[in-house]
Amino acid sequence: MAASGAVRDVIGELAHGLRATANPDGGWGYMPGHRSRVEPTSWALAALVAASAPGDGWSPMPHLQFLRRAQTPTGLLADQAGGSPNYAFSALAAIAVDGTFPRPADPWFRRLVEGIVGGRGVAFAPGGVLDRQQNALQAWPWVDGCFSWVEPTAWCLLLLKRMRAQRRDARGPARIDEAERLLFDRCCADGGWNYGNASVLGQSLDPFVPTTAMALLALQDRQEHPLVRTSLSWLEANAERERSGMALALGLICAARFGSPSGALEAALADQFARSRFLDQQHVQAMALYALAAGRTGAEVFRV
Amino acid sequence: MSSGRATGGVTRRAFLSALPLAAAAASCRPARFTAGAFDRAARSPMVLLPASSYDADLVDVVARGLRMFDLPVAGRRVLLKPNLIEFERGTAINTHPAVVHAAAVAFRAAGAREVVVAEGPGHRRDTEYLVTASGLADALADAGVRFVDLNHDEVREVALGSHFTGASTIYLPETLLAADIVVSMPKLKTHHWAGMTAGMKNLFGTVPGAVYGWPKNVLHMRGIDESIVDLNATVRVQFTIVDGVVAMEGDGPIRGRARPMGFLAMGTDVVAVDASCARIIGLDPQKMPYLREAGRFLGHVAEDRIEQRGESPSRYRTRFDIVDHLTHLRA
Repeated sequence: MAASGAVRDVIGELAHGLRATANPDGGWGYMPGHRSRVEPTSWALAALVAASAPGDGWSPMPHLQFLRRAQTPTGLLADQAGGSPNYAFSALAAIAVDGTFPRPADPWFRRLVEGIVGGRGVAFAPGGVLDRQQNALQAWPWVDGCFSWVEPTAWCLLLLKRMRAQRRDARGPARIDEAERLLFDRCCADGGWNYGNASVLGQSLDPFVPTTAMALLALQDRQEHPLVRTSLSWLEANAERERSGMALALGLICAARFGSPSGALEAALADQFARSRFLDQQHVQAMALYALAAGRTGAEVFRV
Repeated sequence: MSSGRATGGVTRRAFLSALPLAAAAASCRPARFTAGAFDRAARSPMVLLPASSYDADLVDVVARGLRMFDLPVAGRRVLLKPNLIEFERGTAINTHPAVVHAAAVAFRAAGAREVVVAEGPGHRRDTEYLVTASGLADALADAGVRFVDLNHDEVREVALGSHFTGASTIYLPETLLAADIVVSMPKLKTHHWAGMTAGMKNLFGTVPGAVYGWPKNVLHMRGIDESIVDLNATVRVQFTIVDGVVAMEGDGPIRGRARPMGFLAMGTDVVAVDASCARIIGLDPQKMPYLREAGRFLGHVAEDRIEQRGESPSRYRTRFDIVDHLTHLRA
């Protein structure tokens, strides 16, 4: 499937824009000119690696160095601009680095994985007003001291599955098993995932495209599971309904990983950029660049 | 886990009964607030103005309301904080874009140097989708004001103004901290954990998701009521505009039913505005922990301390449906 001229133009514009807005410290902020943060830097690194050609003068090294400097004594990454170590963005950074410049023996990377493996969401006993969910299951919270949610669990689970596949972490299987059970437990009634509550007070809640795509990426090796099949069907039916850079980009990355890259999603994503420029949010522009530049070749960074 | 579940096997109501914001009163903890650090007038005015539908002249309604208060708008940077949490067509989840548009126009007409609309949605981090699908993007384009995503804004760590949660600091968005006037613009809704969400609870959307995640679970873990009070002691809301044109009852803030009420409520004391709204929908504000505690130092809850202007609350007073486990909050 060849990219259309419009898609190629958007790829070029997004790549040029991201290169131009990198901060001197090697990172990107959520908006141009803002202080560097881990999440947009991780997406931009993966995107620019996918969009760059040998000899075009771009080097990933300053951006890798920014992520290295974000490491805390726990091994996890934290934004120096503010906040505690964040499991979702630490795992995303690990996936981006491992998927672009794998150096498994690197102490920085090993400490990062250690920090992620060591983290758990808060558990609750069953009962009370929320009896549908298995609240004792523990996967990953956004930050320490909180409950487990879909986005941090999806990125951490995807990372540990990559480690397992490469025989690089012996403690992963138990965490992988519990995290998968948590994701299946939080799957919405008609498939798909929202932030992490499928039902509250007996009322079913609806799934969102971005979190559904993230969860499916983490479950790409479980394609035979009925909830994965149902959720994939939901995503295929709804991926173009949520018109935003984030939803279309993550939907496209997910479609690519599940073997059905979508020209319609590519076109919709390029069209949405022309309409909104994704509110100038750099993490979304980088997601879109990655989706457009790497989608046709399988979005390998997110392969398990 | 849904928000509000406090500890294993214990309902939120039981938990709150056992901990009526009193744990923090233990002598080993610092004072929850510093008496005298918060100025409040002897009485707080608030106004109810009719607004029969979103097609009404809402700019005129907001402008008339604004003129009833001594709020120095000229030359100031105004931040309008609507409630934008989720989008489902045909529901009453969010502050209606027409109300936000009207406020933007009215504040500019009153001489504001800058007006921005800012929100950090609590469930969806896909702000572009929410702003576009909800119709807010079109309303803001028409009004010529920009939107700031508070979830992904620059942040700064600030000291909390009170200590009900036991925390001492919180990260907040720079755009919020730089505003001269913060206007809380909630949708009036019942809330299945807090009882009611209006001007005070609306501040949850100022807490940056890129620091704390989606949902902003840290606020739930620290206690919803406690977090509401601490946030309002830290982010001082100078004006409140409650969208009561069409409210929500039942299992709010997402799954409730639309309930046409036909008013905008406004005031400079967010606690007083919320207390009045609670009475209008049939809840006792003194039974709601966050309002009761806020009424001790942030603003007024007692009816005799609230000066009603515009329409009488009795014109709108009714009894909203509320989830079973919160019926003890009824007046």
